[in-house]
Amino acid sequence: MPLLDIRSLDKSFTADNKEITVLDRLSLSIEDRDFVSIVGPTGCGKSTFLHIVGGFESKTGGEVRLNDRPLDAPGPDRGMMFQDHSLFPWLTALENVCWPLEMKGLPRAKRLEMAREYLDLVHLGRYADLYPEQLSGGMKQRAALARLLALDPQMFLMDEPFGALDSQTRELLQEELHAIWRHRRKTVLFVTHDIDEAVYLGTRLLVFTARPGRIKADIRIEADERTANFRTSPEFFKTRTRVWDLLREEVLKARALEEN
Amino acid sequence: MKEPIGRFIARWYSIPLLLVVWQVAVSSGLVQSRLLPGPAAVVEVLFSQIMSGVLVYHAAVTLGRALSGFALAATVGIPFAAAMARAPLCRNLFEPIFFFGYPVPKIALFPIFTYIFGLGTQSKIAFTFLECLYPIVVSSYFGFRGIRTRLVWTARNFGAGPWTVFWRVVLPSALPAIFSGLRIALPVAIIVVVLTEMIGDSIGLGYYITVWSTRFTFQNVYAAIIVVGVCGFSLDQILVQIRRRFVHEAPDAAR
Ligand SMILES: Nc1ncnc2c1ncn2[C@@H]1O[C@H](COP(=O)(O)OP(=O)(O)OP(=O)(O)O)[C@@H](O)[C@H]1O
Ligand SMILES: [Mg+2]
Repeated sequence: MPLLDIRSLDKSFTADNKEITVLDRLSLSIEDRDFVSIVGPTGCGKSTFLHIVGGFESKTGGEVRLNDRPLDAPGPDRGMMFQDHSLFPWLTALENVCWPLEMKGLPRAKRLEMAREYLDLVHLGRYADLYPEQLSGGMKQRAALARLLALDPQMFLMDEPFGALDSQTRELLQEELHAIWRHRRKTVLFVTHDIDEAVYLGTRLLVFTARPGRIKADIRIEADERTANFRTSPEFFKTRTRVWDLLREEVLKARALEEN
Repeated sequence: MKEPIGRFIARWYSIPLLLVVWQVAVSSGLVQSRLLPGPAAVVEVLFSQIMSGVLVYHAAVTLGRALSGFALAATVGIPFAAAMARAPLCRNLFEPIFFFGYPVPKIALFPIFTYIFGLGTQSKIAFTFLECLYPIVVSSYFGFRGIRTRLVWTARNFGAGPWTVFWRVVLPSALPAIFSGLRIALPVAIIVVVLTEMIGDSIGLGYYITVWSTRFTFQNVYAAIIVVGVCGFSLDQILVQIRRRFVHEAPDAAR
């Protein structure tokens, strides 16, 4: 039995009296401990898809089941890291990371200690007492990542989590995330525009079509442990090129869609 | 030590400057009118009237009314704005009324208030309530509407229920707008009370001003106006301090 089972999921929005279909009969099964990378042209519905899995956005049609139960509300079993990081502006980085720990009922001293550890893990320990608007884009993303780790959900829903990072920090955090996924036995849905990142991290890679979003390709990436060697392996390059070609078609379609 | 004093002077010098210009204009004979006594004469009256307790009494009456009406408007207006922003039924019912009524000069209704509540304190508080309700509701309403959905989602993701979401996301998000509404309403409260006291009463600063105007003794009128100004300014500063305590502001914009 798959962990997450999605059957002909439809989603449309009505804006300015016009209905736009964002997801069109999307079907997909995700197993426990999959690391699913999702790539697709801009505006194809990747964020919307994660929001539905998170239970934040309602679906228009179809079925979404988690652990064989219909999914219709958010819960701490699925942790979302939003594209805009969504840190609470009136809380410091530390207080932001503390909140999920507080919701779990941890005593104050314990949650402060843990929150500091998570901030250290994303190399943000020195900035614990700054407010989000005092942090750079990359620092905000790292604070949001620390908060997600503090929530410690079974399933990570990550929407372009490393988009604003410099490439060195990005690689370090990719390795960190890979280690967490491996050792703590998590399931991850990971949206990104960076194909290298998608291939490096994913055990499975989904390519979405231009809007309305469907799954154009579902690629398995077998290599088990991801080390620096994997980044230079023939398999890595083969997959990368294949994804590039698939994506390129859809990006061109999406562009044509925008021009009409 | 020297720095803050310098900044203090830079910020407030215009007030003593005004007093000096005023005094010079009057004592040089440039302005000669019973309508404008010099500041020295006004200050003298101000002190004697405060020491005798007369101005203190009238100011207390006016402030009591203004603050009662203001507090009532805040107590009713903020939850009401929240309901209007969150519940479509409430929004459809009241939004047009509020936006239509906002620019209407509600003073035109004051005679009706006096028929219902009499000429005393009650009608003043009721009317102040109405006048303050508008800025508070309208501003808070936009505050409650402008909440970023993602922040609510994030809290729900942590397992927060509706009550926690309200206290820890909705309210902090709306608080800056609520406080701007309160800051607009506070001077309105004082102005409205003074105005309605001028229309008809036997106590309060508005009454005091009217009486001494009809007696052509303008030292007392200006003394009362200064008291109104000082009260309004102090209350606003108190509100700013309260806001600083409860509202997170961007650190570089905090001043
Ligand atoms: N609340 C909404 N109301 C109306 N339209 C929406 C809403 N949310 C998303 N959309 C539309 O749905 C489509 C998909 O949006 P979505 O954010 O899921 O795209 P995306 O694949 O994440 O894009 P990107 O890669 O740029 O982040 C877009 O055309 C967007 O305009
Ligand atoms: Mg997106």
